[in-house]
Amino acid sequence: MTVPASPTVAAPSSTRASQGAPVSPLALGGYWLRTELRVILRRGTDVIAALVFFLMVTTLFPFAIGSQPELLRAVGPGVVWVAALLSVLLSQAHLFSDEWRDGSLEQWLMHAPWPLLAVYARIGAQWLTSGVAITLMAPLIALQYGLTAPSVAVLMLSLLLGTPVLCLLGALAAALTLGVRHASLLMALVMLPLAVPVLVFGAGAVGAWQAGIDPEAHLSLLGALLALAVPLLGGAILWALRISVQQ
Amino acid sequence: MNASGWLTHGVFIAAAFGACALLMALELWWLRRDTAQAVDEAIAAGAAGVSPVRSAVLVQRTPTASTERAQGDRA
Amino acid sequence: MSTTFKPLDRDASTDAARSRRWLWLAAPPRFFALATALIPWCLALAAVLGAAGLWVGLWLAPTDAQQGEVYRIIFVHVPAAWMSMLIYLAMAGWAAIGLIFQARLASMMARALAPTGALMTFLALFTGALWGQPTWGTWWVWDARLTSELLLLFLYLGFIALHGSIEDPRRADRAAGLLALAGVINVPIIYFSVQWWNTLHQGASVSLTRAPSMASTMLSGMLLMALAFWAYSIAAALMRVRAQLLRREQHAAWAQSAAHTQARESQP
Repeated sequence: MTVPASPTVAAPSSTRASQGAPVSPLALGGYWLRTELRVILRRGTDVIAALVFFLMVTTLFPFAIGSQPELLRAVGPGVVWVAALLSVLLSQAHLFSDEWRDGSLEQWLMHAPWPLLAVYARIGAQWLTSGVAITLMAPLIALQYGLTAPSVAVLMLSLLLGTPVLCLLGALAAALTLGVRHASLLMALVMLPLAVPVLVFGAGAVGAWQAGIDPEAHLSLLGALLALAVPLLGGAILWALRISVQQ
Repeated sequence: MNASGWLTHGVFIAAAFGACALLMALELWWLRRDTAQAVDEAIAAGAAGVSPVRSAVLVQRTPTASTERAQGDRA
Repeated sequence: MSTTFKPLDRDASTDAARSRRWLWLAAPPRFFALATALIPWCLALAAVLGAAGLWVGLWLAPTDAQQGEVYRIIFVHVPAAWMSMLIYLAMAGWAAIGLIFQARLASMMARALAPTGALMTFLALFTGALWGQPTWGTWWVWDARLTSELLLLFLYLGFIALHGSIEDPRRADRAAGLLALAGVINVPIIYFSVQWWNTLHQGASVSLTRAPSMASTMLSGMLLMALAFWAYSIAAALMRVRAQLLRREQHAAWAQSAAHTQARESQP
């Protein structure tokens, strides 16, 4: 496996802090975000695998339910959303496990200046390489399912708002199940009920549009969920990490 | 919707109340059995002569990777 | 040069931690005795209230004009649904106390409540299906309440699975406790979103929440059954906690003497 991110993440901040220069959280966050992105993109195959999985799931449904255009158009948004949910879940299975296994997670939980920021940086980087990528692939799925251009726009907007919440939920599940046997299965069991509201509002937005209703209500509810999730789940994830390393 | 009576829908009513009674009885039976097992285990632990003060819960602390490394450093 | 293991950076906190542990150690024998005393009373209460509730529900309450006798299933379905939600709240409450005050006994109570809560949830779903089939013609209705109950069942199962899969009991307590807290905050959101989803999709034109207009006898019947279920749940949770305590503390003197007492009493 490749080198875990934390040693490079922790080192510059501690050296600069020890030199007495105050480090702005914004600069630190930006640095951590770039580092996390670099680490993720180094393992490019993982990112591509998650996206291919997403495409594969959406491709499977027509085989199972038939290829009638009206049916696919009706089912399309829901299928995309469920596939996005599963893809995000899978790509987060090893979000923290490397650092946990070699003990550096415990170290940076104790010593990093802004551990919550580091958590956000990691999840943010992971979202950029999974949630955003999935959103950008939505037009491809639109071809498969015969969705109209405005539907695709609503779909992409709903994915953009909803996938960060999914990433946060998945990260919470990952943090709770660190080092546990069959963690991915447990992660799914833990995360999926909590993800239902996002699913309802996300897929519902596109469904509303297709039914001729303004999707504004759905999208604003998604936005509200996002606004709630970022602070609350961020804190919960940090708490879960501390629990998992027994602090 | 038809106005129905005990005869036509007695099965459903019986199944509902029966399931309730059965599940509760099952749970109580299981808990009785579990407690009896716990009692046996406690008695066995006492008979094995382990010191009563030394609680496994108190003393044991799952070593993490970092504490194991520290232990290795000091050894 | 000592080669004994000392926790990293924790020397200052071990004294406080040790006193906390002794505090905790002091409580379990008392709690165990309390639970042992309470259980038979709770079970007796459950039996009496249940008998009264069944009498009201199956005998006193009038036949419904539309649904006939089948509506009587609500005397199990609704109390079970109420209990499933109440137990989840209680579970989250105990989990919060366990997390915030580092109280192991509180976390054990949360763990003890979960299976009973899951049972109530399952019962609500099962009886809901039995009610739906003769009344509306389908075994399952994507009704907002039933769907929320289904998700609640998954929340319970997730809690139990998470707790069971972590080996260290302290970490298991805290992780599952955090999950319970996350769940309890999510439950209103889930319920709202499912309601929203249900009304917009207009799938089910029938709703299991549209119970027959409540005659006061029906209401008192449901209340009696609900109280009976509550007493039963407390008894079951206390029984579970007793067994847990015996197992976790089997090396403690009090646990061994309690076990001997229990063994003597259960012998005919």
